[in-house]
Amino acid sequence: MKPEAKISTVLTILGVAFLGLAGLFLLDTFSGKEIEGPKPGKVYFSEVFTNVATVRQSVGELEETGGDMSGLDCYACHDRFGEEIKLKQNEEGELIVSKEHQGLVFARMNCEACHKSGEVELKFDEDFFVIIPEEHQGPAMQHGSKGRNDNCFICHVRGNLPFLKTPKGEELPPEKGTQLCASCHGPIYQDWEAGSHGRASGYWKEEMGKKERKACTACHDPHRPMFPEMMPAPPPNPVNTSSHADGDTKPEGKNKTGGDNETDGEKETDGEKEKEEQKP
Amino acid sequence: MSESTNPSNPSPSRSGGSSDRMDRRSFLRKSTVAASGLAALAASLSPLRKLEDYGSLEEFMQKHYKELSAEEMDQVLKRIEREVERQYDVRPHVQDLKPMDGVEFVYALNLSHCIGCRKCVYACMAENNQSRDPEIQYIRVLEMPNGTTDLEQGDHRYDPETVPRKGHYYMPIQCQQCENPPCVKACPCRATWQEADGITVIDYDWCIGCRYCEAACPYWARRFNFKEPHLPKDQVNPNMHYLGNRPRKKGVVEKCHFCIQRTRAGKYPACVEVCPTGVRKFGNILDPESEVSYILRNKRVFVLKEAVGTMPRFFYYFD
Repeated sequence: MKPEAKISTVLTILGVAFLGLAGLFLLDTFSGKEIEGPKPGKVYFSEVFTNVATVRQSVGELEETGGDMSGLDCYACHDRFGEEIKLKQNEEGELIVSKEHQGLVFARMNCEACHKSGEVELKFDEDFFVIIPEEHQGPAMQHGSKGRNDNCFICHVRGNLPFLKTPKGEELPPEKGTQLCASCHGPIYQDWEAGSHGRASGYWKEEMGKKERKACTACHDPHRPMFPEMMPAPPPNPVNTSSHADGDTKPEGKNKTGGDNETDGEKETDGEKEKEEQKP
Repeated sequence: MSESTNPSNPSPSRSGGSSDRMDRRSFLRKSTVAASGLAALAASLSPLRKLEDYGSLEEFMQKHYKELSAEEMDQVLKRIEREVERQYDVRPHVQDLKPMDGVEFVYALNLSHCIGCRKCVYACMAENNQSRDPEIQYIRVLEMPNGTTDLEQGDHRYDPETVPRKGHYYMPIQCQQCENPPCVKACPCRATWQEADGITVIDYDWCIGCRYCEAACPYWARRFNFKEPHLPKDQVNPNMHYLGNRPRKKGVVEKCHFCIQRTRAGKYPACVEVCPTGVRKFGNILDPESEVSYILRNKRVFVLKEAVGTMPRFFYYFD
């Protein structure tokens, strides 16, 4: 074989090898393992936890925003078997609301939402407190811890339940529920007015936009004003957490004595058991 | 190559065949060495194919945030918009809102009414484009037994069926936006500083990831991107701020910045907005009419780890 031929063969081999390697690199054969991206479709957290809505909607709010008022019927207040209610309609079939009902919001809950009509008979004790049957005690009426405030007519106008009445006898339309609350809960109302109690959303700088305040009944059910219990959003996920995944909640001593991961794990489960035991 | 030319003048006196074989062997040897050398060279250069991931030359040559002129800032914001669009298929609106005159932000939190629902934690994640996997959260809610404010007794992994649990109160902790911030002092490259409105910010392009600030913070407020952050494309919040919620890279520190992209536009931070009980209060302390001014005047407020001398702008109170 001639030397020139040898040189050319070697150069060809080298060239082919280089091209081959270059091709392999282009195909990512030698690059590091790809980091796994977020899995499509995996729910990282529920949108429930970022929802800005308040825990409840007051009737006043429903009125203002034109919310769903279905299910509120006349018989919440009127006696179903008493005088017949005659609805007046205009030529287009729309309901004409009588003068005394204008601006009035129908009570949402009435016994007949669950009970057959006529089945329910309200019983009052000597002081006109509604006697609540045992099965309805608990969630239904819990304004005040000792049940001293469970008389309907402390806050509602007798004979016209949707209208409200302050202890001084001042009658208020249902949208002015905040004033009714203020008539007893003065200091909290003061805090609410100043902005330290209750929710605020929108703009902190009023020149740049509107600051929205919520009325009392947007968060508190007047019949059961304690803020309802809620399901908490999931705790920080130690598997997903990169920084300070462990070690933060564990006291240092544990890590020092433990050493092995296994022992650490055991201790953690012990802690969980303790927690479970603490639960009532 | 000089040696390879030698065989072209072989001495005819010696046996030509043997010298040929020798030469072939040496050629093979050399070619193997050369091939492996080339392979090594190519392998060492192969990361260059992913040069894009290491940031552009523009980013590398960028000046410090405080030295950027308005025009240069515009260029930088456009570059970030381009990069975000390429990575997340979302056209973001990256801003650089400056602090307002006569504004100093203060936060107040009513511990009597916090129920520990952790909504603030997740609203914050949704607003601020934190990494979902690994999970980075700015707010940590501690479940504290009644009768103590000893943080060591708090548990941030509580997970009961419903909250609040009896005999406990809840204490959310996030960046306290100190007036005397130890993290700023610890930073060796001035990548974090305090702005005129009291927000301590981080320039993610300037951070070298030494984590000194994280160690200096007494409130466990700073988080480090150990891995490449992962944020689903459909969960990107396109309203961004240079010093706030623009997507971060691996190897930089981040923390709560009072939702700078919202608060400097006059809005409430996301955590205030979402809190169902309304215990989170935010506003301008220099405005005597603001709700935080009212709280500081009328409530008994306290700060965490007062003895450390950090002078937090984050106040807790009971009422």
